[in-house]
Amino acid sequence: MQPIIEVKDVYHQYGDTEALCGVSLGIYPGEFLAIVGANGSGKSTLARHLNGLLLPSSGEVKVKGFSTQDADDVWQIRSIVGMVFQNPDNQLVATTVEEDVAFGPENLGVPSKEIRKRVDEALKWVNMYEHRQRSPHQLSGGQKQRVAIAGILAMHPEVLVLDEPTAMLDPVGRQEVLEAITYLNKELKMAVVLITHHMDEVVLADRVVAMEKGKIAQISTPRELFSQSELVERLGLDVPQVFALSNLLQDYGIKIDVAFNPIELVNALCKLS
Amino acid sequence: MQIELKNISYTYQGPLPVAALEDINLRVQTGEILGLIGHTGSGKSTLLQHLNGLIRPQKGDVLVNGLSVKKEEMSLRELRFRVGLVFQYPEHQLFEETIYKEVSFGPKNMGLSEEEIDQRVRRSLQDAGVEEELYERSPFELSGGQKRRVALASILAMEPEILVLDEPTAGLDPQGRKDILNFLLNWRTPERGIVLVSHNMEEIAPFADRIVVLHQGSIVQDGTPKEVFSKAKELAEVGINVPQICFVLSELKERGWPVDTGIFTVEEAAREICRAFNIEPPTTPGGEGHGV
Repeated sequence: MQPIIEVKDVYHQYGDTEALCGVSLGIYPGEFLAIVGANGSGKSTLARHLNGLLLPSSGEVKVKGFSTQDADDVWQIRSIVGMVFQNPDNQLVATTVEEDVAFGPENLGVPSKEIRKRVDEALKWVNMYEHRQRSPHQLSGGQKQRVAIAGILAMHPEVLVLDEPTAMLDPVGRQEVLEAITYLNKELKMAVVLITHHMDEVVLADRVVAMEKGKIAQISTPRELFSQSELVERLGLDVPQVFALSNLLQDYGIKIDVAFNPIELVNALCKLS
Repeated sequence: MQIELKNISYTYQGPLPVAALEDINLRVQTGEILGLIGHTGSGKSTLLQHLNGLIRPQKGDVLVNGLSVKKEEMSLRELRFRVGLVFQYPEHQLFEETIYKEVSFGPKNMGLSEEEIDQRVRRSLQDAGVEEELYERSPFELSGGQKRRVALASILAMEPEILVLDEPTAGLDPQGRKDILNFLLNWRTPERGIVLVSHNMEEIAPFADRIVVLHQGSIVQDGTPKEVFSKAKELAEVGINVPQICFVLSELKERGWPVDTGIFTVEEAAREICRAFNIEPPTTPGGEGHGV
């Protein structure tokens, strides 16, 4: 399969600091990719290269064959790769939810009948349709973030890049956003790139890229990553509690599979007896 | 030092008045780490602002070592110096040109000598984990995690007796979270106390001495982590999850296994499960700090 985004040997410098040193990565249609790493490991810098918000100091990023370095293609690229950031307050601009979602497609010159259709559809995808007439400032954090996602979806991207979209949300808001992301990936087959510090979100991904000091330390499944406790510690990451518990029980001689979710573990334990 | 909120109610006035707190009774004291849990809109921020005198009590009273804030036996100004509040979004709190100036703002306001200010600024920045080469940089050039540390340092420099932190670890990587929590554990002494707001149950359970759950402006739970987190059902009703480990143990208990549900570290939980399943766990307790 051809990747939608190809990152080839990318370096990026901010002043004297080398934020990315030789990163290569392919992002494929329909996949759910997580990017993890300590603060300052280059996660966000990498994400901002995916739609040309930042350009490589050397190396190349290609989106469906368009190079992000080519200024003429930047709008093309941004309609393929949509980006959602940490703070929803900085991303909402209009006075009602639906106007906000329409902002992107309007700028792309989409005909107004088509805009109406896209706005309604995008709001339904993130389960915010019933709030379409409300003002964004009346919404909770999780609702705002879902409106921000809908605004990107209305531009019909093929890849959705989310840079710590749940960091500022409470558990309810976080759950709402994760459900929306999972729906987009599983039901609409949209490729998702999720940058996160929450290890229980990493578990949702097909592949996880672990970053360390501007380089990719490893690309693997979440299961493979969390099984390597030394690597996890070196990267300043963490292991989801249930995973750690089931691992330890295995070490203690209890014959169960390693579990990610509490019910899975409880069921496995109860089956033993 | 002891702060007592007595029958505190608070309503935000406006065209649609919003009752944020209703008849809150809560005692906070030095020596203790108090974990405060509640969703957005539960009244947490309003409660925190009563603790350090940012809000004057509307109904009820705040007593600081028995002195009434309402009757002005205790001034709001003094209370703000003695109780340091670190906001959730450091952007709301930072404003100076350089990090050094940012952190010296509080002690300067307290009228301390130049020398004392310099000592406090350096010590707090170091304690909060801010590297010296950043001192002359603008706080606005920093990453989210670094801003958070500077905001913490600027409060530490006032040497409060009680430190109130609203989600101090949000947006930090796991190692950064551990660093901050370990620092706080060491900072706490019999003469200093901590009030910590967190959404992360795995984080707060092994850390706090006492947990208070706020829901729609009222306190619905107040007890040790063990007492509070053993009430998985009651907590679920107010939309709060218990730590994953407590969930596993509660569920096992529900299905008839004789396990203790008030356990918060992976290590202890594994031993407890082995015990219930009559399997001999290894004798050496593992040295890994899974807890905090």
